[in-house]
Amino acid sequence: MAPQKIIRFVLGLLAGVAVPLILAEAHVRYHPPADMQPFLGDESGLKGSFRPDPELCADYATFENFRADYSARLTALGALDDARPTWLWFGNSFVQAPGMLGDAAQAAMPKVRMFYLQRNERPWLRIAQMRALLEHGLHPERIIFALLPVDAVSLCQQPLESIYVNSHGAITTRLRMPAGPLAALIRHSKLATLAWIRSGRHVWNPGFRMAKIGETLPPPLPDDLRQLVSVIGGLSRKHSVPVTVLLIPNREQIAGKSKFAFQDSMIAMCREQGLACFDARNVFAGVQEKQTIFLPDWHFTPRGNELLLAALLEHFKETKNAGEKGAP
Amino acid sequence: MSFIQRDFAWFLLVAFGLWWFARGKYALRMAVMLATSLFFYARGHWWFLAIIMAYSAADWGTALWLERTQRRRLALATGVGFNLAILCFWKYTPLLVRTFGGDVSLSVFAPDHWIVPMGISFYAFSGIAYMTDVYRGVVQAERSFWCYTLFTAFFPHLVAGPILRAKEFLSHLGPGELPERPESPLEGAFLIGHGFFKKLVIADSIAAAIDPFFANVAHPSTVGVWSLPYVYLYALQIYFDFSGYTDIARGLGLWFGFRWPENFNRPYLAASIQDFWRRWHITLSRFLRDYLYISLGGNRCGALRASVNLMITMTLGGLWHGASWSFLIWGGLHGLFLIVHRLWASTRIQRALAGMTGLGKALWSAAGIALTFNAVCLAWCFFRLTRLGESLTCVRKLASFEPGKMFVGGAADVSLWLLLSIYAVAVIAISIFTKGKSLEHALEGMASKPFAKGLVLGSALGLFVVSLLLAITGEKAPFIYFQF
Repeated sequence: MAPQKIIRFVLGLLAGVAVPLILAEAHVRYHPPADMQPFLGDESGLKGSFRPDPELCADYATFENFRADYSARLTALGALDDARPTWLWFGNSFVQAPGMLGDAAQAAMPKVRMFYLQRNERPWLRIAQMRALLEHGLHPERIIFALLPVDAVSLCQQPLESIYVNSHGAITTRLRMPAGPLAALIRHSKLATLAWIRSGRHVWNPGFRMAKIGETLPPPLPDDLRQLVSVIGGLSRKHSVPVTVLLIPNREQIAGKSKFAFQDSMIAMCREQGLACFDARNVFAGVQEKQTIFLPDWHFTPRGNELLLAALLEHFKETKNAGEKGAP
Repeated sequence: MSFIQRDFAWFLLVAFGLWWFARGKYALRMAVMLATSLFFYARGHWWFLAIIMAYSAADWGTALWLERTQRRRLALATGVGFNLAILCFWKYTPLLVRTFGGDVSLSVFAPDHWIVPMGISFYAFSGIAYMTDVYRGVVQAERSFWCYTLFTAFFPHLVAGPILRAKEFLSHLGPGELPERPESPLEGAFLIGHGFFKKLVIADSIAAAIDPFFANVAHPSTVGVWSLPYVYLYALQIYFDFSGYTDIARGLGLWFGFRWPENFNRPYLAASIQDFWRRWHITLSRFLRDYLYISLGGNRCGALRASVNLMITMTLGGLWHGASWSFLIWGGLHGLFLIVHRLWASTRIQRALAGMTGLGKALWSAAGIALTFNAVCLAWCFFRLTRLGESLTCVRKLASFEPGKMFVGGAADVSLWLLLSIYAVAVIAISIFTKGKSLEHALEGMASKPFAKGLVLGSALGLFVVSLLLAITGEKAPFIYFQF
């Protein structure tokens, strides 16, 4: 082929490559897809009702914002300064979903108001919710803050330092950037940013595997957990409310061979803060047929919840922390 | 294996490299194509090999028997019966057991446990078409078992077509016929790049937007939501998904030296339902026409019989997709539409309207396109939702919705509509640039234009790169037609 033809061919080739890339860049820049929005910081179209917080990285901008977000549940709760004995529960679906631990507790102790928000939030936001309720007049007899190893997943992939409340009040996440020239490309091209996000390498701990959390806690998870436990301890002391950190084992720990590094670390951190901690790792040890305590989706059956609740209440009795008014 | 799996890139590199290395050595090249194809098919499910080899042996043997026997009808019936019996066993056993055998939740017949061999519908139909062509004298029976097995199993078309006739592929596999080099590699590259873009970017983006609605169509959370935009988007999803697959398959075919027929020709621009079936899944509709409709008597036995034949053909076409009432209704609706179209086409008023010119013709054509598209979309409700109750709920929600919920959820995703708009503008621009010619003919005109050739190759590369960059994360949704 003559040189002139080769040059024309190469020019055509470059133009051909450029056109789809330019169109794609324009598309992503003009209207970023939904899965990209949580990583765009101030450029994100997401709006919210949060403000930055030095301890928890994000908090509700006002109590009214929190109230609006949970209007049905807070209406059901009624006046925050109601004198009835109230136990405040925080946790994931193992606590808050219909038929789970919160409901089981309510059925077992009808004289006590068992209150939970019925929505699964990230651990630091649960603490922000606890703080909002305590600082606006709710004085519960007891707070139970439940954690499972799975709760640490969000903290592993989005540690506290990566959380950023943008100028529109939405909670966004800072991207983990690669080393070298790829970082410059990602900073300047929205298409490259999207590709980075969709590659799954953008999270802060891309090599994290849930199965490993029984063995060791990857950094900066221990620091983040210590920070969160310290905030809970501070709230407990400030408002004179007993808080019990309930550590629920996951299925792999109950029915498999997974170890307990997460629980061991949490117990030590709670001890540092003077917080009560109930580690439920042995609650199910006596159950021969493990399938009787698990639903197909790995949540606990009514029997599993009964066993867990009975052990928790027994723990309260033993530690003489149970409130007299509502105790069974 | 699937074209969108990461492993496929390595597989293709090895398969194409070996094929290229085996140039000039007929037996070696055949062995490479066959071995790589069987590996592609059976990876992860090695027992699939037994099924495809049994099909190949039965169809190949039946064709030879057809040429030698006086009892040709018996031979054909045996061969076709074998193909259909095995196909029905795999596709309909769970339904039959569920219907007559009670609880199957823990048995091997439970839907979660039952694995239908990939592509079985496609190679069963290819086999039926081949035996029928031998019976009719259209082609001669293939003497080489390995050639016939390659015809059945060649990986680009194996899993979801196009459904090929013997003269389109088998007759190019003999000594002296087997291609030595790629046929129009530029066109192949563009088809592959475009196919990946259609699937990974457009179809999967639409799926991400609409799947939550269809998964909850009967749930209280979707009460009052208008289903029409979702059904329209599904119509686009299935088109981009399936035509994307076909583009990749045809592109790969070209790289290995074979030109296969188109499967889609702008189907949603069809001005009538009959026209739609000439543009949509063309190789299936011509199979149904040539080997079922015509075998039933076609339109040679009067209007009533022709209508019955149409209905039988389309309902069986529906059932081919799966054992459920909704597929039956989908096929039945298309049969009904085709019958109504036949009746309408025989009226004087239709002939008068069709004879219009100028603006009147354009308006009439636009009305036909709109009516056809909406009829097809109505039927898609039964195709997308295989539980009849959910299909009917979706149809009801076409007309019953709250004004505030006309465009909500994924249907209101501006980013998706922007993507579709950019794609539409690009397609129109290319059509103007190529004066509406097909890619094959447009490339013929570029033989002496190096810039244009570079542009086509660059576009293919660009589309492929954009597909990889924009591919939705998580588990890749398989091609829709892999389930059939």
